[in-house]
Amino acid sequence: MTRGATLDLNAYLDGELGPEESAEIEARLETDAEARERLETLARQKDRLGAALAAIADSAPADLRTARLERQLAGALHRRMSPRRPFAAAPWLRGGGRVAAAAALVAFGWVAHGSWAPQAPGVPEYVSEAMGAHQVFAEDLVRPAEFTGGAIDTAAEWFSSKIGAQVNAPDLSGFDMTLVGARLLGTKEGPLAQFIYEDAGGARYSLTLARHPEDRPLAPLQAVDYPDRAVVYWSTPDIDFTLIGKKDGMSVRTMASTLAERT
Amino acid sequence: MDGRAELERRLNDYVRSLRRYALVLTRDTDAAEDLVQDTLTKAIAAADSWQPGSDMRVWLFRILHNTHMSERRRARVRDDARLMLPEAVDDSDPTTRIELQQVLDALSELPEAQRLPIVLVALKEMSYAEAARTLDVPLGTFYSRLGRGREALRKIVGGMKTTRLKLVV
Repeated sequence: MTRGATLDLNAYLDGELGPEESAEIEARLETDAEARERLETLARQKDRLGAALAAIADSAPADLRTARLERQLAGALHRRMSPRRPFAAAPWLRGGGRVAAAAALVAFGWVAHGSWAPQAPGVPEYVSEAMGAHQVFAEDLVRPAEFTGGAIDTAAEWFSSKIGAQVNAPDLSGFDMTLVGARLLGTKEGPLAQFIYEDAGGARYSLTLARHPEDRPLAPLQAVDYPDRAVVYWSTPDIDFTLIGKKDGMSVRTMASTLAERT
Repeated sequence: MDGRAELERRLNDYVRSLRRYALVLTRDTDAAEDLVQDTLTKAIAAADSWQPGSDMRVWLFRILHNTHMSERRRARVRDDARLMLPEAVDDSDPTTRIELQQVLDALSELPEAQRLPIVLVALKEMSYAEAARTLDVPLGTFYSRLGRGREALRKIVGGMKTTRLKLVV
């Protein structure tokens, strides 16, 4: 057997070959007894070595300092994975979105309302996506919304079918907020429905709704402090909600609290 | 499972793999644990340089590998020292135990350039590309060293069996 053929057997054994190359090897194995034997030897050797290495490491007593360092590293990396760059990857921001403010994201615990849970170290991806969408679409008064006026009701039906759960634009007229537009966005987390509201002073607010993944825990009502914007998010078993608005405008927290009670 | 718990579980798996690799590199259980701890300490200090989404395991293995190499350069340890791995522990079946020890003994006969590719692939199903990045060698070099090393290992293990057979007879 040539050396090249042996190398191919190694790659085949380790799952490094594509389907076509694997098929070629398998065809050869059917007719080449020497290659079959070689592959069996390689597989047995790899298994034994894996088992031997596993046995020596697992027999070592647990080292407390290692365990402590392991936990510290988990903490450091978890913070790294937290949303300091929350919407840099959002599709509509690629190639020009101004996201510098996101770097200054500060999460804080908000305990003004007894039922509000302490702030988690990171915010869910859907909140980051909602923030990106809010900055790009809701605050831009020139760019038209995808649906306006009476078309929003029809849009809500379409959104519901795309998201896989019933979504609609809640009535916020009690807060003197007017629904001015809606759009559906594709994100890496799935479709996201965005409803845009305007207050009496013309400040823009957005409520985004996404399908709540079954395998994720329900987020209680929580607030995060982005620069110049207030963000509150919560989950129901079907929908993840994010409400975003100006800090100095109508209280996003109050509105979110009312909406969460309704949902 | 929340993100932090999931991360801790993954890290725990990686640390076990790192310890196995460290044992092969250092040939000593205490030195291996020290190397793992140095690696974790450096990783904590460099956590900000880790790119979320990139492969955490390769990142950790690279830190461990580079730490070991620079320590060894400092200590001027000769590379021809034999690999002295602790005995494999598996008392369920004496035959298996002998076989496992045999393959470790055979591994110790190989030059390090061939030994490390074999170990990295055997450890935790690391891909060739990941293992080559860990060792900082081109993929083609990694590929041929792995092939040569496994072939040499096969011959050594075969030779051991023959010797044992002769002794029994």
